[in-house]
Amino acid sequence: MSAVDGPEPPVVQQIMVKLVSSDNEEFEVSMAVAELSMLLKNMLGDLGETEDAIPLPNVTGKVLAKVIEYCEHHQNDPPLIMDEYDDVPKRADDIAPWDEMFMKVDQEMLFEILLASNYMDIKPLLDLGCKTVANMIRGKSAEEIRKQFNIVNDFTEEELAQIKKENEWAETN
Amino acid sequence: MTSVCCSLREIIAGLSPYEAAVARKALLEGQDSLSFDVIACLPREISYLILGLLDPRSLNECAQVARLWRSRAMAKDIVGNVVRRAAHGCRLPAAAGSGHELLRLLLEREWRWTHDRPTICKAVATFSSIAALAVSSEWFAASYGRRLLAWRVVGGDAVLSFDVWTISAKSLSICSSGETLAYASYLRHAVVYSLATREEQFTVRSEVEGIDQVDILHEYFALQKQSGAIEIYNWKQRRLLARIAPPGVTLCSMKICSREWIAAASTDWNVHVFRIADGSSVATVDSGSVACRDHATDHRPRLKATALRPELVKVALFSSHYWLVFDVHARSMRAQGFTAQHAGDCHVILDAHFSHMLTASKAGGATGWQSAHVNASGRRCLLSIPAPSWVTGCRPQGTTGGMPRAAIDDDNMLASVQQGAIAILRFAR
Repeated sequence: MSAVDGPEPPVVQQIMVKLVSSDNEEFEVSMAVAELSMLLKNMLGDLGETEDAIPLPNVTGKVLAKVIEYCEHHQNDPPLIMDEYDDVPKRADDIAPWDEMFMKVDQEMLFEILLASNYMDIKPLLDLGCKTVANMIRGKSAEEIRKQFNIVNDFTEEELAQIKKENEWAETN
Repeated sequence: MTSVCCSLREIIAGLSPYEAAVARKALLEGQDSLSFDVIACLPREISYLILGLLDPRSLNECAQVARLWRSRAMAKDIVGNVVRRAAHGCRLPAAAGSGHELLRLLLEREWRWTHDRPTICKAVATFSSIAALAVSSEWFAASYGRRLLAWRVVGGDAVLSFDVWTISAKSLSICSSGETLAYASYLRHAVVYSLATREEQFTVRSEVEGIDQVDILHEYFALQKQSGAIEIYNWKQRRLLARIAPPGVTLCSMKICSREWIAAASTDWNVHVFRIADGSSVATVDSGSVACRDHATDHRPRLKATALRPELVKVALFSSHYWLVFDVHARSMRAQGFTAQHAGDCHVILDAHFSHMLTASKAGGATGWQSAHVNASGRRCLLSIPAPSWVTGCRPQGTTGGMPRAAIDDDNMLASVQQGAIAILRFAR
């Protein structure tokens, strides 16, 4: 990660942090990478510099590797500006090409990434995951959504009638 | 064997949907990719984040997928946010209680643009070219020749309710309350009329400079001179409140947002917000850099603006080919939520609002303007009106000639013009 070609970069002693997944896989990442996770940032703030590995009991090694891949790519991003008001139009079509490739995973991994980024409190990754799922839903009919996510239509007859009634303006023309 | 199957089924029934999906995958070898109900498996707050990113139409589909999806998609905050964002500050009936109701109204309205015939479709022969047009929720106004006309929506018809002889107008504006009509003439004077009595309420004469634009909202009347300087009057009290001419910038379009703010665009596509009471500058938004990024900004922008909330101003900036919409937060002076759109090669923007723009296309030969298109943000064409139907019932003097003029607002109204005729269309029921 610190291997840079060209003129010798100033040598900075990178502080490394050890992370352990739920299935006891060990990962070593730089402080800058770890701090993208607010959970780790707060923990490291409390612990100070530590040699001990930090356990992440809710994340498997496979998922943690993926999360770390994301954090390493984004470690130099400018910090997120927090929205002051809640009704700012949120865009879902502004995913960077690298992020889009990164998110080309099966639904299981996507789901795990969402849970892990939520647990580890990595806002940009959580946002990216949400946008990815939203893009899978957008523009589809209810039936197509059911097919996409393998969902059983569990509405009762009465509920179906009610839904049909609510949407009949779209049928009349 | 049967008992094993039964107990397996029981075990699976006791699992969470995600665990069940994994179990099913494990049992059914050979199924490479696992698809399962992501929304149902995720913690509620993450599913809300996802649903909150959707557009109203998709959200409405989500509500029809399954019971759990319905309860999540129709959660009050989610629907509220999605609808508010999509409505772009245009008026929705405040009476609609639940978010669900609002969502339905919004979708219905969009549906009308696409599928309905307009409830009013009236053509008026003018026999001369149109000088200026304005629309507001209940009124349409037009100036041609020496006539200044305004139609009021009564029942399902647009009734000519205001008709005065005057000098050809350069700019028209109708107060959103429907009380007054403001107009600026080519002869350097501006007048506020009462729509009810047709009487002149207030007149301003400019000695030297021409008046380019007028705007009226309640008791506030603003006019912009050729140099870009803005004057704000309280016409009821007949006094000048402020004169705005910031050094170093040339303002070219303005709009009164509320009783507190007035917004103006400068020729470099930046937007300035001023306090009406004293003309002091409140915020300057560097929207020019956003516009410059993907658009040549040598065309002067036109501006629409309204205050969504006391401290939040919605702005639409557009020229003949480019449209930019964003919010300005007046207290923090920050602008957010930029949405930009190009009209396309053979389209020209006639008028734009916060969520719709009206374009005319030259497709089908360069002889005339063939059709008008209403586009929602997100590049969807909602409505396409072929030129002949604009002018049903009167004889247009040919479809060649000058640019058509049109005015549109988000309350589903549209006045469009061919040379020699005005067509009035309204989509609200």
